[in-house]
This record gives sequence, C-alpha cells and structure tokens, in this order.
Amino acid sequence: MATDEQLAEAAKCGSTTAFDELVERYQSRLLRFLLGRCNNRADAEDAIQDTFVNAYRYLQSYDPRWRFSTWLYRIALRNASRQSLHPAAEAIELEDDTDPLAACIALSERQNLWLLAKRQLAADAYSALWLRYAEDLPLADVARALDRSLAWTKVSLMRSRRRLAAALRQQPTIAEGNEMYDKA
Amino acid sequence: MTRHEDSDLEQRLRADAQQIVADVSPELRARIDASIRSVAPIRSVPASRDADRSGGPGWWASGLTGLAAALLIILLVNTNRSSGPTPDSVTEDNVATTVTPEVSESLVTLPLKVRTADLTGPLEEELLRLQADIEKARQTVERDLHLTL
Repeated sequence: MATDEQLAEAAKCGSTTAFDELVERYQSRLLRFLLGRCNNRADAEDAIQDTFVNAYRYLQSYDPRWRFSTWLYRIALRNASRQSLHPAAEAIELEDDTDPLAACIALSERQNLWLLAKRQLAADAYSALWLRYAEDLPLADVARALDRSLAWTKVSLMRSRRRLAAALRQQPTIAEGNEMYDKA
Repeated sequence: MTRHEDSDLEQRLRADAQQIVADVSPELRARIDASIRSVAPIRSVPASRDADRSGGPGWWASGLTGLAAALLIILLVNTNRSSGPTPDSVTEDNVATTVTPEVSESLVTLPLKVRTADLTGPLEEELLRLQADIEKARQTVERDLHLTL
C-alpha cells in the first residue's frame, strides 16, 4: 500500500488516480476537523472543497520532507479561517442553533471532550489539540501546520489540557452532559 | 494537574475523536471531484522567499541607485546652504531694540538677538514679522501707559 507521500509524488507527476486516493483517505478526517473549526456544516463543506482544490493546484509546492497530512492540514486551516471571516450568505440564512460538531457526535454516556474543547478554546488552540491527539501528528508538524513556533505549540497544548481538566472538574453531573447531547 | 490526569485526558481526547462520525456525502464528493477536474495544477512554482533573499543583480542595482540618490541629496543640501544666508547676514538693524527706557523696565526682555546659523530664509522673514508685531505691541502699551498716567 502506497504511503501518502508516494501518492503525492505520483500526483505531482500527473496521476489523477493517485490524487483521488488521497482525497478518499483524507475526506472524512478533514471534515471531522473542519466541523470543529467552522460555525456550520455548509462552511465546513466549502472549506474541505477549497482545501482539495488548492492542494491539487499547488501540489508542486508540496515538500516531501514533511508529511503530506501536515501540508494538507495547513491548507485546511487557512480555508477554515477564511470561512470564519467571510461566512457564506446562504449559510447564515440556513444556520440553526445546532453545533455542526455536536450533530456528528454519537450518543454516549459521557460528554465528548471535543465539544467542550470547541467551546472553551480559541481556534488555534483547538486546532493544535486536534492535530496532536486526534491526528497524532508530532509536535514539529503541529507547529508547522499552524505556522507557529514549537514553543508556542507546547505551551498552547499544556494550557488547553489544563483548561479542559478544569472545565471537566467544574461540570456538576454527567447527566447534564447527556441532556445536552439529547438536545443536539 | 497530575501526570496521571494528563495521561487520562490525552487518552480521552483520542477516544472521543473517534466518536465523531462525519461522512462525506456522495453529493459533496461529487462537488469536490468536479472542482478538482475544473482546475489545472500550477506547474511553475514561484521561487521561495529564501531564494529571493539570496540577492542578485536586482539587489546591487537598487543599492547603487539608493547610494546615488543619497549623494545627490547631500550635494543639493550643501549647495543651497552655501548660497543662502550666512550666520553673519543678519545685522543689528534686523534685531528689535528697546526704545523707551522707562517702559523697557516693565517689559520682559525678549531674547531677540538670534544666531542665524540654523535659520533658513522663511524663518528669518517670520522672525522679522514677529519683531514688527512686538514693536507694535510695545508702542500700544507705551501709549496706554501715557494715557493712564
């Protein structure tokens, strides 16, 4: 089975099949991430579409010394930020109170930490946490994807964990968390 | 926050990420595919910033142009200074003098004898206008004093 980097090299040489395989591998992962970054599902879907289009257009600028996922998430982050700044007009009209991330979380006995993280953390801190723990990227890759220093990334992750832990301690009961999911 | 708590939190974050189910719908996938097919990859990647920083003929050209411009400005400034008023060009006639001894005691002595080393033409004219204004004011005060007495 070819690695992401091998597929990217093949796509660079003009193989559309290789790029299709990369889209197949990353579409759900990117959407899960973007749902946590965007205000609604429409914005997340626009961002994922732009991410793959930009990746395909600028594939020649991909540096194989870095993971393909790092490069792709870097593009996705830029598109997510753009969507946050300029949300589509139709998306605003259709927007309801449902958090797009909450709508994708399966019912469970306890509160999903990512929903809490989205509410408690700044966008960049959330992204760093996601890339580190959901994507298991090394710290250097997280820093590169976010275009931040390694020191900032470490400090951000530490503060995010503390904040989440504190928020968890403050939560009165699990039942209330479940009620929230029921509403979602 | 203990190390144990930290580790638990990390594990929970990993597990909870798996709980998020976000499948790409066939419509979205079709949109993505159509968008990709509608664009062509850019073959020539622009040079990186590092390459730009390394310099070249452009850097030397801009440096030499800047140097020439600086020399020209220095030359022009020095030429204007040598043709302009010299520090000794303001005579005692241009400086306000006190006229009436009894009134002069009540007025504040103004440091009007100015060295003109740093003055330019317009500033000298402004100084003369100010001196004329002060002279008028002095005469007005003198007249008022005479009227009062």
